[in-house]
Amino acid sequence: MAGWGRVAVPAPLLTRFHPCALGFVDVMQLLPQVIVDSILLSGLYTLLAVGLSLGFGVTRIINFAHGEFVMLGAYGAFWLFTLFKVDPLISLPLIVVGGYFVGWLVFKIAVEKVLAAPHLNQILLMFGIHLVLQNIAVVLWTGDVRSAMPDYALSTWTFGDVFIIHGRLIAFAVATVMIGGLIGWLHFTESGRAVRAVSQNRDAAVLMGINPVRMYALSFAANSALAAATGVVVSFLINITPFMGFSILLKALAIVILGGLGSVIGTLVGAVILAFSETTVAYYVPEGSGWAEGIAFALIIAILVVRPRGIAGESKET
Amino acid sequence: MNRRTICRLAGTIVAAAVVASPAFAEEPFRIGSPSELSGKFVAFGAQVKKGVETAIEVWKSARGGKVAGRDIELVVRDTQSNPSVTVTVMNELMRNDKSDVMIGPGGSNTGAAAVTPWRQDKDHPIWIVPGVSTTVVEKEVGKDPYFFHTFAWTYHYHETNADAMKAAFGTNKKVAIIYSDGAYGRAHIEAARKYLKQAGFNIVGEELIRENAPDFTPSLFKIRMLHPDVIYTLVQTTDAVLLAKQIYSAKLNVPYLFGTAQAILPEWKNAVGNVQECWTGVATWMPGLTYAADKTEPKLFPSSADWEKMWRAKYNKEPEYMEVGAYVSTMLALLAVEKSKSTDRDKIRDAMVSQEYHTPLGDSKFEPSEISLHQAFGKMVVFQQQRQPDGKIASVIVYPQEAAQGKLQACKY
Repeated sequence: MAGWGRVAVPAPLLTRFHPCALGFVDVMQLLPQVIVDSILLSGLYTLLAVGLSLGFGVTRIINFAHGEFVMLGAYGAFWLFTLFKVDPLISLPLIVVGGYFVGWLVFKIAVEKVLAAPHLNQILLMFGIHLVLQNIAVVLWTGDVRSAMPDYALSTWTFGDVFIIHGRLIAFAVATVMIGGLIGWLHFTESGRAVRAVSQNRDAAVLMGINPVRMYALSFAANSALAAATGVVVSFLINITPFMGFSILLKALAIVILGGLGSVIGTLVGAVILAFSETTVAYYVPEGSGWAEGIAFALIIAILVVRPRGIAGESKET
Repeated sequence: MNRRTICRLAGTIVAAAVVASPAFAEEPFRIGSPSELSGKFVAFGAQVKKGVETAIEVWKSARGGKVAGRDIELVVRDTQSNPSVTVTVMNELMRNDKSDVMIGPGGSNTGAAAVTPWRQDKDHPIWIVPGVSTTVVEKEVGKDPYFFHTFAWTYHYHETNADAMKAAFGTNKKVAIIYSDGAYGRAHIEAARKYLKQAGFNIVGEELIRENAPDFTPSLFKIRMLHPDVIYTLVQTTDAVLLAKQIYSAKLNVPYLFGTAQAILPEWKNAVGNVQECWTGVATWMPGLTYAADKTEPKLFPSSADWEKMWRAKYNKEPEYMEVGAYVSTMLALLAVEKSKSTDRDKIRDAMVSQEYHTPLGDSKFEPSEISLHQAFGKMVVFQQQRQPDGKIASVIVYPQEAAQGKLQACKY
């Protein structure tokens, strides 16, 4: 286990965290790490939720199987790495394309049939897909915990007291590229603009000759592709199991509700708020790591009470 | 054929049918096994199922297909690693399946959920639990005479670990504890504190982490500032995977990394790869132990080495500690039924308590534990994942002295 370096920390800090009486020095000591962790987490959270938000913005159907598409992407990266030594970053484009086609297929086979159905039917269908995909994963790969282990998943840079895990930095970079690509596609391509047109006003888009069902399929497939990309990134950051999807879905839902369902910018804002809140609580509140996860739900409740349409969401009947 | 002959023939047929009917047939001896065959603790359930099945198979080949003149029937039901499903499964196994003996589950969460339905059934059968370390279960079952535990309770883990640490490097060390907020971490923390303090260690910090959280680095950052000599983790396998990776990444530079049983599980070892090196854990059984065969029942209880050989030949894999536990538990139940020549729970209980064998898991003597009446196999071994001369990493027993295959080593950086 060569390569672990000792990080110099002032001696007076040694006992301050137990029983957790934080002084000003401690607060300042932790601050750089809190900021770095929050920024890196914001990128991952945005990638995690932006597909879900896009999909809802266009189809008005919440993809409750979103977490399972992340899970499939993670397994794809894991197996390519384990069986064929393909680095997750190399396999990323392949898995994104795979995710796109799986999403398209799921839309054509199932989702398209309920576009005009009541919301309850749509929710039940998406939950059904969530359960089917989860159980297929259990049958195929068992419930064992797995994790891709490229070198950068474990290596670290240290700058004084701050340490940055390479894997997280790479995840942030991938997220930035993917989100930039998404925004570029939505704004500078014909199909992207058509998707936005359907999202903004379906009837007007139809009058302009846009096929809305095709745009629904496109946005649903893009949602799956982004989820699969998230899966690749988390394959070397967190545990991979068939059951990982639900907690990911909850986190993604918290972000899009916070930012406003259907808004890409809102998702970004929601992700940043959640990442900073969770990280701050985890570092500064005694036993904060245990509390941090609850922040997402506290924020959902608060936003639903104060501003139900989310920070950047539009108030309109759909 | 005259009328009298026809009547006799009909009477014979009716009598034969009545005698052959289920009401007249000897009921089989039924083992019910609530196991985690799916869900997050599937590894435990699969081990329990395989251990029980193997024991029945070995029994049948050594003794024939019956016990006390009855056929042996195994009913395995899936708890799905879900506490509410576990309640249903327990009720089905007791009321519908009429299990004579229950064996399982393996995980602490499902084990804790299984207690209430078992206790609520006033005629609850003998229940042998080859897993489940949480003392929540021990407190719940109390002094129920029909409960048998064939695994270690949490205090066995920490008493053994503290003794091993003291023997290896003395007590002048700082320990930082990381524990999860789930049933597992909560069940272990009190005993860990008690035995580490009792041994004389200085607990410099404790960090609570959320079960299944995606990130533990804030806790690790705070622990790094405490400069402990030992990180002592009380988390289940899923969290232990991520924690091991993040402890490695965070450059904590801590010489000793202690866990509970996860460091022996192939699932953990496969998931963390080389990061497993230097991790220390504690288990009731592991390959390489040298327990002798039982003199009276050598076919059922061969030496631990021969048993391990049998298992490897049969399944082409290393046996897991809960597979051994489930095997031995099942065999003890079958021997108790044979000895008592009955499926009456009181007679089985008395036979279970009175019998004593040298098993591949150690001596089978049931004795009172801190709370419950029947505890066996609480003795544990401490092992460390050490790199071997051939470059591979292997589990090496480091404590107790009589079983040790090597010495506890500080992590090299």
